[in-house]
Amino acid sequence: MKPILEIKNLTKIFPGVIALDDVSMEFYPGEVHALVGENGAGKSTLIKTLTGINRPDKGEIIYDGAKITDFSPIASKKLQIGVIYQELSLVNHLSVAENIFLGSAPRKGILLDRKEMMEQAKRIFEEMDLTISPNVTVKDLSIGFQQMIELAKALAQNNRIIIMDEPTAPLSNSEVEVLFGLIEKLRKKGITIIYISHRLEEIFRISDRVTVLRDGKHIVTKETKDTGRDELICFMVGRSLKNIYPKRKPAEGKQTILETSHLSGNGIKDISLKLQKGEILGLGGLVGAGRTEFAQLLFGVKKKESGQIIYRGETVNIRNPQQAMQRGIMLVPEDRKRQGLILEHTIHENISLAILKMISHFFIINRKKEASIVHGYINSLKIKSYGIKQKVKDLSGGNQQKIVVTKGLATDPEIIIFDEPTRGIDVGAKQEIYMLMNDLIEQGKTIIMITSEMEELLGMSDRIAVLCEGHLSAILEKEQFSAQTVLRYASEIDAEA
Amino acid sequence: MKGRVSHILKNYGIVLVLLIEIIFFGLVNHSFATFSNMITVVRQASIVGICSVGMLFVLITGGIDLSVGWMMSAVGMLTGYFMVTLGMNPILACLIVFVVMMVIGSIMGIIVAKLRIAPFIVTMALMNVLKGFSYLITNGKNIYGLPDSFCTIGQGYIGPIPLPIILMIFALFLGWFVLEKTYFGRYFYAIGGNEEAAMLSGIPVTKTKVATYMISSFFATFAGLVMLGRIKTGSPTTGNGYEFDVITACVIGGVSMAGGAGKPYHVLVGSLIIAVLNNGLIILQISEYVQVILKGLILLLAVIYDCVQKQRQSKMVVLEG
Repeated sequence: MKPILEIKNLTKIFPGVIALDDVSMEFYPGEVHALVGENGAGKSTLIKTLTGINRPDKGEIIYDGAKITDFSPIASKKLQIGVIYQELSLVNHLSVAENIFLGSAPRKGILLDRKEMMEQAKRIFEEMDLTISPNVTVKDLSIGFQQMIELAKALAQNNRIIIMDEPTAPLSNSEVEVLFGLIEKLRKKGITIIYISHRLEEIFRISDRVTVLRDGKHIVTKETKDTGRDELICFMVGRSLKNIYPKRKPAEGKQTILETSHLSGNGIKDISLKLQKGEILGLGGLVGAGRTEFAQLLFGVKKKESGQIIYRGETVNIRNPQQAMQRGIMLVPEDRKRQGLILEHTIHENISLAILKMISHFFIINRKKEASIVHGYINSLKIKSYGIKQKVKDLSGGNQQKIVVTKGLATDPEIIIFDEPTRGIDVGAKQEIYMLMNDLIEQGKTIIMITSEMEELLGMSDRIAVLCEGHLSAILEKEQFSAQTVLRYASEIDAEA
Repeated sequence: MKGRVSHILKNYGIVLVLLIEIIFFGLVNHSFATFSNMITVVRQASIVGICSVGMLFVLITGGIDLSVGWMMSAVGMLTGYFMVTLGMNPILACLIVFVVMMVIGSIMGIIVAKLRIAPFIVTMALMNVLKGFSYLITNGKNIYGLPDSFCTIGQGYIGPIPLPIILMIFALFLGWFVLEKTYFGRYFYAIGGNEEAAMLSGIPVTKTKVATYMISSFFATFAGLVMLGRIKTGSPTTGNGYEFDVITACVIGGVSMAGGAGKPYHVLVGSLIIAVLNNGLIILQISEYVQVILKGLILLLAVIYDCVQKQRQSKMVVLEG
């Protein structure tokens, strides 16, 4: 069988870094080809080069036997290569149907054929087993559903190659099943799927072959069935990583540091739970279960409607993030680019963002103190950059996440709420964050960890609180930890133990 | 070496534009390049400069304040009315006017921050209120006979340097001090850079936004008083269209309309570029109307240049040592 896409000696250089270093690969019709590697390995650059956003400095791309000479997103669209990015590219104010047919809407002459557009959208949703009305506005959908719309878009455009970049990151487990079902359908149609993910379990489930990139170089391509998780990780980081979830001593004694009593508001319905000092309380549940909403109440982002928050025995009223921080509660938000960072600002400006008043003397910022704090964290967290004056937008996902975490840690909080702490970052950086969390626990801090990654939830938590549709479905002790148990409680309220 | 040069060009290129402009006019007409004319130019830049310091704060937060021009008129009319018709002490009159205008600024700020209405609309609405108010005070008639003590603010000198220039330097210094040195100076940049991230980092977004528009009104009032002292007349149409000059000065100087960035020296350079242009064109005896067209074109060019530069930055290969 002839490859539908061939890459030969592809090289791409950016200021100070060789993003792609003499990469050669082949992709065949009807295969699901996984692409793995740490952040900075070159996966994003490869995609951008394939879709015409980057022009390679050296090398060739041969599509269906013909060499590509025109590099632009429009040209690659003609080649029917579609991409679903990590950062969704939907227009929030338009409807779902309009988004699916963005740039390629069915027309009657020069007029938009809305009826046909709606019909086609409905058909695609049926094929995908999705119950969404084509009229719904994108911004009213959760991130999970928005991701589904991106997929529908790819289907609508009849692409022959679909590149998916971390597609399951915002999806719930049931949505992931839908996605995999779709991928099967696409594969049978002869469509090539290039699947980029950090979730190795998924790769072993659905891919035919897997390629590892590291430092811009092609390391190895193997049939998925011929390799295993440990071997892949070895190729990805160049060393073996044992014990991804580092062990730590269980918390001594039970002291309740934070308690919620019949807390309601912001989609949360009557949640009562106790947070023990020195524990990592995992917060599990499906997308939309209310985990982030719960965190927003604790951090003062949204107002509670009823119930109480009791901190160290004292009932408190937290009306904004400032007040939460004063009490020693800090939130590391879910979406680091939209909520955690000021992308155009520098590393040091981002890190000191939450402690500006604290490092000042009579209104004036003490720059020496700021620099020493910033450098201290950069060293201890091993944040890789050209210097503290570098803009945060140029850093890798893992380093960006470290900066958001650092900003929170600088306030010296007692309780840290991590919302999806390792989303979209590579295995090496994930480990570092887990070790950091362990260090924090050893220092006597307490952590609430919201995560959609089952392994992470089971591996890092001391206890797991499972939410379902705004309610607290169950609190699991270590002996009860299992994926099935979590899922069961995540899907039904008050399921029998 | 190449990296250093392009780095300097990138950040300070606008100063180069100013220098080229000065050299151009100097060569074309010798009466341009005299010391006294240069002083005149900088003095003419002062009033825009002072007002632009306030606008800088607003632009950094990603907003805009269209009310400043008519606020300057209202300031002139109200102060003139207090001093001439009511015979009030000039200092007292100024203080009251500052308070009144800053209250108006706070109202704009509260509407923008709490009701989340676009600053463009809110400040445009207030612009009209202030316009009507300017005319209403004396039914459209000019106010003459302002006390000389007051007029020194616009007419006076310290040594060879006109007072307005000193006041502009003072205003720039205030802006620089707050934005560069204080902890709350960073709040403005944070809000303009990413408001949600700022909020989640504990920054008091609402309070800062209200303060932003109060600051803009403060500097607009300041500029209005200097203008009043300069022309020695309370005229309702004084500030008409001034907001355009102020915004142009900021943008030409390099302040981004998108927010999150901008420094006081941008304001200084931008004000000077416009003042040099105005002065140069007058000396060349070019029609007033042509001047207006040119200013519009220059604003367009400045914005295009800013945009192109940003795109180039991401593609540029800097040869590191």
